[in-house]
Amino acid sequence: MDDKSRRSIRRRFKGKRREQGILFYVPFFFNYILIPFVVFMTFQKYGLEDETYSNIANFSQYFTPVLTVWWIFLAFIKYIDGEGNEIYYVKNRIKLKEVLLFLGIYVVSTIVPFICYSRMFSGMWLEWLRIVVECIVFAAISYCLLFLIQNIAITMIPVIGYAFGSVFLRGEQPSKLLYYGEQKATVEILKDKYLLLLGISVVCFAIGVLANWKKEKY
Amino acid sequence: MLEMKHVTKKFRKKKVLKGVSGLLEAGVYGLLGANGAGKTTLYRCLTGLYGVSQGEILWNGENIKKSKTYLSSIGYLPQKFEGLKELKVTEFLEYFGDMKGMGDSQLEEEIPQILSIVNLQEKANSRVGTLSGGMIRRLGIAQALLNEPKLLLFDEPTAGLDPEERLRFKNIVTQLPKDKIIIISTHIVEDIEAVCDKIIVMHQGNILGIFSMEELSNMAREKVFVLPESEIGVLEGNYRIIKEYQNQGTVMVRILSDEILNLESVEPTIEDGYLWMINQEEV
Repeated sequence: MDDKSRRSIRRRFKGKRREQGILFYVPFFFNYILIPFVVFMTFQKYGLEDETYSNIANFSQYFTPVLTVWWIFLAFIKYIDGEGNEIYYVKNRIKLKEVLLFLGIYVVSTIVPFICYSRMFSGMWLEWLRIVVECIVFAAISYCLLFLIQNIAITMIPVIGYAFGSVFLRGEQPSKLLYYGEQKATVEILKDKYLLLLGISVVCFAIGVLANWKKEKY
Repeated sequence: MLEMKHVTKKFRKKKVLKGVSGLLEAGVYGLLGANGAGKTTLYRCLTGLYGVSQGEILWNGENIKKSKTYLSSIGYLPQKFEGLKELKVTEFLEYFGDMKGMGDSQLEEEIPQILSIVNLQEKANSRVGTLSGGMIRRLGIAQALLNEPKLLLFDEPTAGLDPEERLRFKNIVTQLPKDKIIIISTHIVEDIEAVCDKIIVMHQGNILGIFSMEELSNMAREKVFVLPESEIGVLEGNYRIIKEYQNQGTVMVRILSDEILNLESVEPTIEDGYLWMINQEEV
């Protein structure tokens, strides 16, 4: 990537970050403070046992993937619902790059706590990989629905519904389409379930691009 | 040079633009039309936001869909414009300049010049959210001027502005380089009288013509009359009241008619000519 592109990305991200104000830091609160606090408290009680591992895996899955859409939704308020939003589409109609930018930076930010967790348990990097796929799923669904529905508030309903449904409608044999995984992340599970979800994400991104291109409602 | 050839735009079954044609060269054009005439739709076709249903739009002889440089040549200010409130004015322009593919050095050079043109130099480090409505509109003009566009499209730029801001807008337009095509859409004639070289008259999805000020006002020559409201009742012939106003305590009416012979006509204005044209279309 050349210097100009790097500066352009930095400027766009900085612009979006400043526009979101203090709300920008909400995901960091969950990933860097709340979840590590829960992990710490569990570790204090149980030490390096399964309970601690479970809490890392479960709480990370409860919050981290869903929070992928936080920056995306805040950034797209102007693009989707803002007055005079057509101006954002004249030169750069397709907004996929911005979604991927937020997704990429968010995924990189999730590495930090997992560096610490990986010192506690082996296999934590597989958990992180699972989280990454789950983040991609949420980013793809959000992008797709934002341009199909063209309303931020209404788009949040199915996204949050999917998050809750995945966590609470588990049953004995949970559907592979539900992002949440109760079992420890293994290579087999990643190949079996999460490759499928990755494939579905690609389809959602493609539908999102098509809906984005066709957007004529300003 | 911008050329529109029989541009038609349909939304499902409704035709909003009905074969719009016109050739525009460097200069300032007022796009005059009532609400619902199709001005904003035309702008959105010109900016590539809408694809046209039929016809084509050519920029320097090349279809805008195929041109790689067209979108970089446009500056556009939509009817409703709000900035990114948390950004500073300079940051906001950098953000938009970046969207237009401008480099750092170009931004560093252009932004102070543009802020000077729109008279926002003192607000360069202020947050967009602290600006007044008129200042935000000027900021909108500023972002349209980034990257030295050759085609500037202003959609109702003075709507909702106070008289002082409307005058400022006119001053900004007169300061701009003369090598651009500038189209200012409005339904307020006064806003374009002072700045435009020509007027494009639009009505119900059609361009009725492109006229100079003189040509348009001459449309209503010998067809405009002024008389006290109390004398309206004795008039013979068909007429249309276009304005009522007070003059030294008397309510006067300004009317349009080509049937009244017993009154002396007054000098027509651009607005008279525009209304006459529209009237003829509707009849």
